[in-house]
This record gives sequence, C-alpha cells and structure tokens, in this order.
Amino acid sequence: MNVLVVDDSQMTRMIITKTLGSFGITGVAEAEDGQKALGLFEQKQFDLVFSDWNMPNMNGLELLGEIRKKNPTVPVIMITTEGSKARVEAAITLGVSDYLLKPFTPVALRDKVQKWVTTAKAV
Amino acid sequence: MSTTAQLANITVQIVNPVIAATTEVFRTCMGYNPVRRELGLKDKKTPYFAITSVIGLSGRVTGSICLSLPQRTAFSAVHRMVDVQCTEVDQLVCDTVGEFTNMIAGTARSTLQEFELELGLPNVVTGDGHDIKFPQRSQPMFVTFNSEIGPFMLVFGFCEH
Repeated sequence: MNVLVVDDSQMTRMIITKTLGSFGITGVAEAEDGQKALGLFEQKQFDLVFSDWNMPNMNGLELLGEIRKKNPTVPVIMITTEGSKARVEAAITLGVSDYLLKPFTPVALRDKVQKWVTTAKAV
Repeated sequence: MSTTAQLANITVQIVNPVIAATTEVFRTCMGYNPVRRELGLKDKKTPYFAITSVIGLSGRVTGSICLSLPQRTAFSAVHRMVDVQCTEVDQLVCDTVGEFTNMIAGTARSTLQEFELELGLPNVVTGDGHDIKFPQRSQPMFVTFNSEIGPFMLVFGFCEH
C-alpha cells in the first residue's frame, strides 16, 4: 500500500508514519507542503493520503482540490487545527474523506489510521 | 486608537482560552496537565527561555502567541512525542516547539470565534537573550507553567487594528 503523509511539521509526520508502521505499512512517502505532495502524487499512485491544512506554498485544502481533479476516489484524511464549521464544510465540499483535529490522542490517531488502512486495503 | 480599557478587555477575553488551550494540548498529546504558575505583564524582567516559537493571528484583532521553553523541556517534549533523544537544538526540536504553538493557537482560536482569527505559520527563535516583537499597541502578558517535562512559558499580546 502506498501512503502519502503531508505536514509541515516533521514531528507530526513522524507520529503518523510510526502509527502506519504499527499496521505494517512501510515506505511511506512524506512531503512538507502541498506543492511537494502534489509533485509526488503526480509521479506515483497512492492508496491513502493524510494531509495537514496550514502549510507553506500550497495548503491542504488546495492540495485536496488538486488531488480530486486527478483522483476522485483516493481517501484523503485532513489532520489539522482547522476545526471551524466553515473550514470543515469547505473540505467536505472539495471531497475530504475524513477529518482528525489537532491535538489528537495516540488512540484517536490509531483508530483513524486503522479505519482508513482497512478501507484502502479492501478496495 | 485602542484605549487602556479596550486593551484590557481584549486581554481578558483571550487569556483564559489561551491557558485552557495550553492545558488541553499538553493533556492530549502527552497525557498530563501542566500546572499554571505566574501570570503577569511581560517585560524585560521576565526573559524568554532558550527556544521560543511565535505564531501570528489576525482577524478582528491582531497579535501573537509565543511558547518559550528551556532546552531540557524541549528535549523532553521531543522524546515524549517521537521517542528521539536530542542533545542539541536541531530542526526536530524547533519543529516540535513550533507544532505545539500551532496546536495551542488553533485550539484557543476555536473558543475565540468572535475575533475571526486566521493563523500564520510558526517561527522559532533560539538562543539566550532573544526578544519577540508584539504589535506596538498591545500589552503582552506571560503565563508560566510547570509540567512533568519541565517549566515553560506562554506570552501573548493582542490589540485592535
């Protein structure tokens, strides 16, 4: 399974990647902003994307929009501090698959990762 | 121009959400509640610790929130979060402090919706004796905390446009 983790925080990328590793997912691709993530997305087929919202160069919402133009079905999970109703609605309109608010507990992240790894494997 | 009363009013509205956000972020990420200690007006007598992350917020008011930690607190936070033992202030240490600031600011913003605040990206300043600029008309305040990983301080200042 190919998973893309996008966050300008190295710490958050490490936490998500480590959690994916606990489900046997290795070789995770990481990007520190939306622009680099889009570059990776254009080069390789991904089965699952975890993305932050607030990032330099291209934010997570813009990345989501670009991803949906290229692949309407790949699960994209936003992991972000952006939790207002308006922001969540904007992400839903662009086709976000799921949402996890920062700060998150290790258990909440694990549950979210397990849900979407299982879903992606079933496709 | 803002009056002293207006500035005080903004500070009163912001101080409790910022403290509550800090407690929530530490409890959620690391599993314990930091203990609030001193609260006061920020001046040169209350220096920053060695590593400070600052994030700007703007909307109906404008200002910044800073998280400042001694090296040992920052190293312990990194160890607790990603199980990496740091011995110097490297990119991972700065990144971790910045991400905590981002989460504190984001959480505080969710209870300050009337200000319609947009978050900037965190910047990290290191070294003894550094200072952080706040909007000229703001009255920055500090709150110190003790925690299982060591002491740290929040500094924040906001004013109307």
